Amino acid sequence: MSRKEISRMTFEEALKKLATIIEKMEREEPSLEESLHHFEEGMELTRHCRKLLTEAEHKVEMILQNGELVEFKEVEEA
Amino acid sequence: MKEISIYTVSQANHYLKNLLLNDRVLQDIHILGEISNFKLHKPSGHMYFTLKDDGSIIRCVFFLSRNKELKFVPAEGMRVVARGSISLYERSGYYQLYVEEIRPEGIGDLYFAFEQLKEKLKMQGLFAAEHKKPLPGIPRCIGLVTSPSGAAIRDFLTTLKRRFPGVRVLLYPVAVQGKEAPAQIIDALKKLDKLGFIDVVVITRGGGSLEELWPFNDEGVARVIFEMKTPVVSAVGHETDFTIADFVADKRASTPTAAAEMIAPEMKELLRYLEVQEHRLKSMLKSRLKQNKIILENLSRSAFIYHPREKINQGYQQADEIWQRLVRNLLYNLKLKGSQLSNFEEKLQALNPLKIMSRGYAFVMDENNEIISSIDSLKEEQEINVVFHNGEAGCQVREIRKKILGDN
Repeated sequence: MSRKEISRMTFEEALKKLATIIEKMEREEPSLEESLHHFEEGMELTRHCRKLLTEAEHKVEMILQNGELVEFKEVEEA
Repeated sequence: MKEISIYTVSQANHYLKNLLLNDRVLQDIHILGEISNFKLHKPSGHMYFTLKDDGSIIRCVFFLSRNKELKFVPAEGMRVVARGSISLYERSGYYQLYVEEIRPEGIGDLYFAFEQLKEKLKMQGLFAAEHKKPLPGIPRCIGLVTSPSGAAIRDFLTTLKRRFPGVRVLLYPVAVQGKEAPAQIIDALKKLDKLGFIDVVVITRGGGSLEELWPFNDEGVARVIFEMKTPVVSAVGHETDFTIADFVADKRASTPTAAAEMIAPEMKELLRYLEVQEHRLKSMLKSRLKQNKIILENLSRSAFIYHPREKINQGYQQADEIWQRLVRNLLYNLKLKGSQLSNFEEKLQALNPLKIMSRGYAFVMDENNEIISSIDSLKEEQEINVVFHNGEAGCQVREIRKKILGDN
């Protein structure tokens, strides 16, 4: 699975794939070649997941009548 | 002398009770009033309250056996029509209305309409489980349909931010009560659905009377929710309030806070989980490297001493490749720091046969590519090959000097 393919995965897909890889490494005792491959893939998946979690910033916008977006400021109640 | 009849208290009350019970009007009476002093007696499930108007009050009791069919929760100040019979509670000497049923006054028709619409949409399959869409695991963009002021939006946003700070919210402000509300809600839902990048739409408002919640019982609203491609979470009113929107939505949350909890995972937990997985990967690779270090050691030794040249060359290449991968992966993927890494690297370097030979070692093979390991196998004039790390030289033995190294 290439870096590009991973970058297109949803969080759930990536998490599921990660679990499969770890299970494989634990269960099947793969060769060194395979282990390295799994490792690289696994690390890429965790990087991707973390990115998905942290890249977006918390932002609340309000859609106006004319379709325009403005930042929404919460009204503090007295 | 006229005899005076004297009654005991019990007899008097009993007499009165009989009078009431024999009155046809009092035995099936509808009374309109406002609920006050409402008390739900928890262990028994009986309800006690008074009905009042401007000038008067009447005590009411609504037993569990009758009130368990009740579709709404009576509340303080609610204007209701209560039907029942009036009788006397002999123990305390007061009369009260024994309620058979109550319905909210004025919105009784609405309530009936609600039940009717609910039944109709249910028959048409709008509430069926197979039409429910799953919620996204990690929402990136949430569409929010609610009033921009009030407790609902505040509760929702506060909880959302606490659990999962990395999410975008698009608020589509609408009236959540009144005549304008249904059309505005429909418009908002349609527009958000059309955007195509909204992962989930939340439709919410705080608690209110059945009348206030009515826009969420609108058939048009229900049908739009049903037809939307985006999953919808409905969180209208309090925990005990159910609206048509709740039934048709993909998920119903009891409150705005519950909706945020339903939609957004706890970010901290997810990051912790990832950390654990990463650690497992690393430690598994480390143990695999340790195993392979032993294999590599054996391979290089045997290749060097016992195998003919082809195999030796292959061995070199293989050893070299594996070694390079090990170092590269250690350096760039594991990012092990400091002494741990350099230690490992040094050990690996020392094991590389090419490395050993590049320090000035060579070996000798005869014409059959057999390794000559002893001076005793050599004859003068013999053709031999001297193999270096980067090539070999065809040579002829000129002179044999046994044990010359040892003599020094």
